[in-house]
Amino acid sequence: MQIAVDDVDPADGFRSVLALRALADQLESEFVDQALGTGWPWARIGEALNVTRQAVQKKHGPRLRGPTDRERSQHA
Amino acid sequence: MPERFARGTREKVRRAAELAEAENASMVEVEHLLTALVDPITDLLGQRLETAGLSAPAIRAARDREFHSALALVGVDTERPSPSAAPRQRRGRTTSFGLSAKLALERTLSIAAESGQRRITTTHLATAIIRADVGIMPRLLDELGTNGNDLEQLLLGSQ
Repeated sequence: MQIAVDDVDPADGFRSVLALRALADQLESEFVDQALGTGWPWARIGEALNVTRQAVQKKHGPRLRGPTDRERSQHA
Repeated sequence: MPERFARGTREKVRRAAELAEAENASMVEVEHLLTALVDPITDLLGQRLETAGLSAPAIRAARDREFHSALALVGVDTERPSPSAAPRQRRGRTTSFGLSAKLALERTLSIAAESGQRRITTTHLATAIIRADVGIMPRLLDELGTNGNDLEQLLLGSQ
């Protein structure tokens, strides 16, 4: 599909950009969960997403691990 | 300058954080503040908003429609419900306010100051929320069959 940027109000265009980002983030989380569930190592997930193992683990690890003791005490 | 948030207003801000947390959002956003005004309904303002079609389920459905139309504009067709702007990566409590909510709270302070009232009321908060002229809010109000100007007229009568 051709996107006629000139015909779209920037306010609507930016909303589309945010919605695409939210959708992409959600899909990434779901596929990471699925890959880990089927035994993919972090390094392979990172490679598939074209980022380092450290980057993907930093982004998704905490969600899967739950809060650390330090985070828990900060909210206590 | 108004001196402080009225208890009801503070309660709405706290409720917005609770709503964000319940849907796994990492940040409290302006749509959570809007929803908090009517979920639960605790004052005349909430009643008026609900009568105008802004019930909590209606806002949720409008958020999904707004999400779908924003994606359709760039050729993406999905049935997925609108995800939270930034899915939470960490378990625990949602405590931080996203930019959209921060700006709404900033506007709340100036609207309250202009009004000359001593307390920052839920009407000041609601006015600040619906005055956002970019971002999700204008499109969301459109999906709800209204707009900022009409709602402001409605709010004038609920002080």
